[in-house]
Amino acid sequence: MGEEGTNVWDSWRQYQERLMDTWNSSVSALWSDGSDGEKGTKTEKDREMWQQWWKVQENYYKAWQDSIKNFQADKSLLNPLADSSKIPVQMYQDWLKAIQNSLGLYTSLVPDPVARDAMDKMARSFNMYSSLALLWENFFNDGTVGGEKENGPAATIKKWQENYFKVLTEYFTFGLPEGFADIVKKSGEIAVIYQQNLTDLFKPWIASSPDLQEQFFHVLSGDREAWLTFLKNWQKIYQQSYGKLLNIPGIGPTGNLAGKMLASFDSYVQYVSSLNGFLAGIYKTGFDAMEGLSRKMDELRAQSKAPASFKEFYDLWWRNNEETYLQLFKTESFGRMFSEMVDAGARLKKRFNDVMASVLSLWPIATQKDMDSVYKSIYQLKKDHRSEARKTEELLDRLKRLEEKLNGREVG
Amino acid sequence: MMLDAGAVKPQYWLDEALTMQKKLLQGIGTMISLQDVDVDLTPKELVFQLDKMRLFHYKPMVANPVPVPLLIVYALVNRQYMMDLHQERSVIRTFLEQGLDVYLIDWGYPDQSDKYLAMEDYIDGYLNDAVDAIRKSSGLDKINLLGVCQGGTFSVIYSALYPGKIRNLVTMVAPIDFSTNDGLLYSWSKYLKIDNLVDAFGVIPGDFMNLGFLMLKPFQLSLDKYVGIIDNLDNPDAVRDFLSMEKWIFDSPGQAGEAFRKFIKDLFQENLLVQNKMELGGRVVDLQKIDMPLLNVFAEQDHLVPPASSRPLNDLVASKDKEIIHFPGGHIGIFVSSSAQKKVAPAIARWLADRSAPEEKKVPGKKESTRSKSSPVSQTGDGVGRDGRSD
Repeated sequence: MGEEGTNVWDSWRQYQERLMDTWNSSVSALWSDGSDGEKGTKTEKDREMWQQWWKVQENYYKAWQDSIKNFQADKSLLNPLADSSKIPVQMYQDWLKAIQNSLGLYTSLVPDPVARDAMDKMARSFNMYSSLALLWENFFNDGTVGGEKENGPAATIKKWQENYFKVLTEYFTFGLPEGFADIVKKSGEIAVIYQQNLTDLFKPWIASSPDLQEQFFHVLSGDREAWLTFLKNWQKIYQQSYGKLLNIPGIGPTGNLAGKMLASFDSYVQYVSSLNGFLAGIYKTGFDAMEGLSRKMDELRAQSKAPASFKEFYDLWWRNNEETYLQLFKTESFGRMFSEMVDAGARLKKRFNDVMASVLSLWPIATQKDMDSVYKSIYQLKKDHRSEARKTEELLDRLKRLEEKLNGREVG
Repeated sequence: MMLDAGAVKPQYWLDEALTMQKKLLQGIGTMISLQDVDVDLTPKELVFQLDKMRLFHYKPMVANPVPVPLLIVYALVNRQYMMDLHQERSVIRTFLEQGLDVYLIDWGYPDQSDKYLAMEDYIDGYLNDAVDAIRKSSGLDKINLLGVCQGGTFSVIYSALYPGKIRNLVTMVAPIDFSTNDGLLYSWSKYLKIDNLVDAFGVIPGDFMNLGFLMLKPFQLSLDKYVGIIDNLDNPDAVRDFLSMEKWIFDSPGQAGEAFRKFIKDLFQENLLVQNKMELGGRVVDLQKIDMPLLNVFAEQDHLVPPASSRPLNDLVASKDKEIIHFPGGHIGIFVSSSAQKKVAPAIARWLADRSAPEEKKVPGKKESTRSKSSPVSQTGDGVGRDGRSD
């Protein structure tokens, strides 16, 4: 290990130890006798929680120290540190993972759900920030990515790009911040629920038929032909089993239910297609943002205004991404594509609601349609009642005024 | 592309990353000491309730409040306690300290049983009933109305339909003219196929609405603000402010489907309100019926409701006493920033107090809008932009 590398390593360990001291003293104070009564943390339960928490913390720290010892003992792993200007990528990533895990553990102890959720988001943002720092270091120091030297700037950039998306997708779904990506994920949940419900619906038959199992796998991948074959085979088995038992006309795949299932499957395929189109646009914008950042960095470096700290680079990075995505969002084509994806999800949900209503209609269970009918009636009754109550109140007011007028005359 | 800077050593980013980690861990200590994120603390009492809608009356903070009560109407999206996040940053509290007598509507959380609620149920029903409840308890024919965001749109529609019940109208960051494409919500909503969405969901999930708002600033709202707060995690006041806002942001009620359908179709897509073509409960909403004093407040950097959507209101109404206040901030900052607390809320309170003298017997030909010479509102400089005044 070069001298500078050793210094970095020592400095790192010292940081960790100071960190633990600070952590210990600041958090212990919360539970110590005579601490600030306002914090309201003096209950026995809190003490127990704190003791348990600190124990976990200590265990974690010991485990971490052990892993570091092992790491140092393995001389082959020390090779990357021979170049004193770098911290090995894997080690850094492992370190980040360890922090992530411990933060997850501690975060779960935060009592307030809002604070807990915010802490969780902070931890994930910290991970993203740290991962980006690693990329930044690679980019600037010597173009080395993942500890491997490439020949020429073009290869380095290509490698950096690959790593960029690899790191980003680890923390960002679709290369986007979590909250934003949730839009897609939430929409995608409709498809997942659809798949799950479909699986549950056919489970009894799929479980007993390997052929149906195989066909159903293709169905879930959006193969319409497989769906038709599956339905045909399911019909045969169904009629030999539950269909015969229940002997209810119109329940088979030739009846109303099958028609609704087919319609729902069409909606599913359309939804998947819309989602893919939408994601293609999002991915492309991710690449555009990265290229834009590279260009901007070149310009700044040419002007000797390149970021002097990682924080400056990070600010440049997220602002550049924000700007690039907002440019996409402002386009008419995005508005249409987004609307189409949302609409395809809504159509799928509607179709599947129909399927579930048909299935449930066989049993003495209230369907959504039944409930809607009740809601509508209650809504109308309330509305009528309010209207009548208002009329009555107005009449009473008029009567009161009339009485006052008449009384006034009598007095006068 | 050059890759030879070489000047940046790992110590730098390691130092930064470790500093952040330290702050994160300290932050957990702060978070654990927080038992609950308290919002909506200004004392108030429930005075009226209809279904899920609740009307609250805040306890006055001066001996002789402004004689005309003020009803605040918040949007259906998100919760009304944005106006009272905490005591140092509370529009409500500022209003009370400035002498206003404040009522506020809480729309509640609609569930599937509310899917058929239409916009007329909110405006002709709940809002009108709340106004009547205040008129009855105060013994006044007219009260002051302040609408926020979508609640501002509702208040404008209400004032056009019931001008005889409103003494003064205040709108804050209210979308009125939907023809603009300045905001992403405006351009996206034009393509939204609302019928399938409402039919499929009944009540549009709050998460769907909220994530749409996050998309307006994806990296800032989903990443950078969390990185930013790490720097302040050792500051309990900053953490409390941050968590109050987080609580509010992610506390998103669903939208009753029928009301949402009409809001999107009639307003975002067809822009009927500014054309005086919008109908509600069989009546046309004519903005020219708005003749009471009007104060239109908007934020200059509003990314949700751009000024181009709010500003035109003053040109569409018949009011002779009308004014615009614009504040250099965003849609939320206008309520919670310390600067807004000092400037916007007091300016609104003064404007209302000046026009809320006790009702006099009307003399034919006398101008209805009067100025109080003995307003309980303190007369400090306000520091907000004004234009469009025409008494």
